[in-house]
Amino acid sequence: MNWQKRRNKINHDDLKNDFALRVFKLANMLSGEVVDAKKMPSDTLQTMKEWSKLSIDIKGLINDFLKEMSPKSLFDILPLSRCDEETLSWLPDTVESEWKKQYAIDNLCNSAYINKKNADMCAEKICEYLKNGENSILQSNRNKETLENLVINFQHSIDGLSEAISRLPRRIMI
Amino acid sequence: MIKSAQNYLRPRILILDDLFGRDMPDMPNEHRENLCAHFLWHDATGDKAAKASSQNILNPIAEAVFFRGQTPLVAKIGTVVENDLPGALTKVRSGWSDALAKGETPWALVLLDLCFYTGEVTEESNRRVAGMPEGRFDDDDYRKYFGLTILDAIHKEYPELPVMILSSKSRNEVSLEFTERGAVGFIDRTDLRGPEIIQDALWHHGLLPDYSGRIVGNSLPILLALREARRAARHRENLLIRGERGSGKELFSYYVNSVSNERDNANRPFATVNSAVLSSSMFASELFGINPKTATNVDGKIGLIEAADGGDLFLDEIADMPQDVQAAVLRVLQDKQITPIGARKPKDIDVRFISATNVNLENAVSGFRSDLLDRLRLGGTIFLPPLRDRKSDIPILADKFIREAEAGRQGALKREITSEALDKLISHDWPGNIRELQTCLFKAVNSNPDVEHLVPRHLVMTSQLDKSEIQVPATHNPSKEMQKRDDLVPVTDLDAILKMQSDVHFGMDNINQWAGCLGDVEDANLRLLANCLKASLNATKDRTVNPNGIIQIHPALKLMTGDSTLTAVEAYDIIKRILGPFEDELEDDLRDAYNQTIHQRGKPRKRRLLPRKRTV
Repeated sequence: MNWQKRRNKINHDDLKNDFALRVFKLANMLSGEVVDAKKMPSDTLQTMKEWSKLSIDIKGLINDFLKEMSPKSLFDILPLSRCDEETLSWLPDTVESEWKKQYAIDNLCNSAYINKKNADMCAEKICEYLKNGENSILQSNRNKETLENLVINFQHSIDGLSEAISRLPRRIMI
Repeated sequence: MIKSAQNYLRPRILILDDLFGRDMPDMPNEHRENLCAHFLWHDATGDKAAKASSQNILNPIAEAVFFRGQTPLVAKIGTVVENDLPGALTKVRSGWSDALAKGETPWALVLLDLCFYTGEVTEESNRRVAGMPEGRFDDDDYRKYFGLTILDAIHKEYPELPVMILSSKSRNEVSLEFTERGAVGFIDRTDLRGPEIIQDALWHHGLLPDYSGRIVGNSLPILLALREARRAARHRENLLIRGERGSGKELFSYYVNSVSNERDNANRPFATVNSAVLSSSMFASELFGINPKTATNVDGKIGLIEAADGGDLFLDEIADMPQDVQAAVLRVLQDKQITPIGARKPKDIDVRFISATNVNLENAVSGFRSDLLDRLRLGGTIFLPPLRDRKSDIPILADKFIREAEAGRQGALKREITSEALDKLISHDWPGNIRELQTCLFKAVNSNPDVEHLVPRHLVMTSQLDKSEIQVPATHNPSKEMQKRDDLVPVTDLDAILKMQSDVHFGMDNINQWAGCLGDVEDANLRLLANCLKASLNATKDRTVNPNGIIQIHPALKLMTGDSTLTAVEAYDIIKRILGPFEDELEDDLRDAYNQTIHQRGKPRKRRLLPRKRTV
């Protein structure tokens, strides 16, 4: 699967259409705006456990972006691979460097990494709260408030992460 | 009998989306549940997936109806899923043109997905998301999104229907495509603002009825006018409302004030004034007020502009505003200051002027200052549709007015309007608009207190009068004459008088035509004056000191005549002349005013009105 297709699956299908919306529901259940007779906030524990797998996929996606979408990769295939060795020693890096500047690639990748890291931390703490079950969450207002804040931070992190991934160029551009 | 039109207490939105529109055989669509939980929508789809859901949104902001836009609606492993443009359009139509034709509330907004996955549902794709296919190569090509094909078709067939893109795709890659195809905006499905962004979209683009119930109607013209009013209410610039007489201009100005308050969680004041009563001699005290320390024996008064400070002042019938008043209002708009009579310093004011007219003010003949007009419509113009352009609203308007009329009559029977009577209402053109419809139905209820059904013969449209109907009968027959009068010439209504004035040529050549009607005309004019007096008494009631609990006639007569130099004795004499002929049938405030006049000035000399409908 090429990088574009992977981005579409991970960012669009898994992160935005599925995971993010499940977290939104958790946030609104905690705030009392949504009630579900068959689901309690603690049922989201399974969802949160899925984050670790998704997080690995996302990390791989960001890491592979430079490898697959940088115009430097064009020098590995015809016709640019026919450039003489002297040219190949400096031109691919120069092209990549210019490309990174023009599309603010480093900023986008950094933003994605930072948001992912924050999301990982939030997810870990949320799991800690959820694993003690419903009583621990709902009986203490302080616990509930802390959990709500963690969920809100988590929402912001995955929103920032998704936004950064969406803004990465959709094709190899020079 | 008619069925009352279907109404909803919340906006109804249609969401065309392959993932969230999937129906599930006996289980909830979890993706749909999560989306509804995020945006706080009640799932009103009514399919198996919705029925299987255990989720409850406590205060939903909208009724959401989901549709997959593909066949089949329920897919399982081995099923091939294909896009279904005709099916999508049928769903759109059911809540749009079909609903409008039935007088039902149409979609407030359509939210449209971009990418629809097609192909076979495989074990792998079904494991990821139940009922979703693998997807074909072109499905995810932004130039070929099926959502854009649907958008093209909707815009071509229903250009007034507001459509927004609801997607988790990147906005940038399709912004030109969806704009060119007529979508009014783009909402990111995972936007953190959730319900807030949907409410904003509904406010600005949605077609919503007035949920307060004051402005009644679901027709497209009235929904478009309400949307214009909401858009205008977002800012504090002055607004102009244009529409024929009786089309509800004052109600709309109040709507602008109330939705502004609702939006900003504020309580801004709202004051109204009819520009026609702002005579040269009294406008300053009415608009700007009187400083309490102006002179001995002069009561201080807060002017209407100050009363509306921070809020809205509704200026009705601005075409009737005298020139010097126009100049004064223009100064207020320029300086944003007023100086009450007797005050030394001006006061800063923050008032949005909402003006109304049924006159073409741009016409030089109107005599209205163009510089004032420009300032009064700086924030936009709202055009109100005449009733003849929104006939699908007549059934619910009729129902409202009949109930109101019943409520005003103690012990009135609850009645239904027959379909024949409704047809009669719908086939009429209503030049007097909603006010004429209201008059017609109030009269029908009041004149027929002991029936359960309103039938065509109960309905008298004042604007149906023509010259032939006010001709003198050839032979005098009192009983027939009264019946004719009741059915055809309700001359006590203002509309009827205006109609007569415009229809009948006043001249010696047709004087006989008038011979039998002068009694009616005189009666009507006096009743009209009595109503003006009643309105003036009400208007001045709360703004005058009333130490003895006695109604204050003098200020009311000053307001009514526009003459601030009027003496108390002159005021009493005017009362006697207006109310004397009706002394046995006065009610409430008019009775109090008349008794007070008699107490002060004695009984008037008996004066008889001209007999009605005399023959010559």
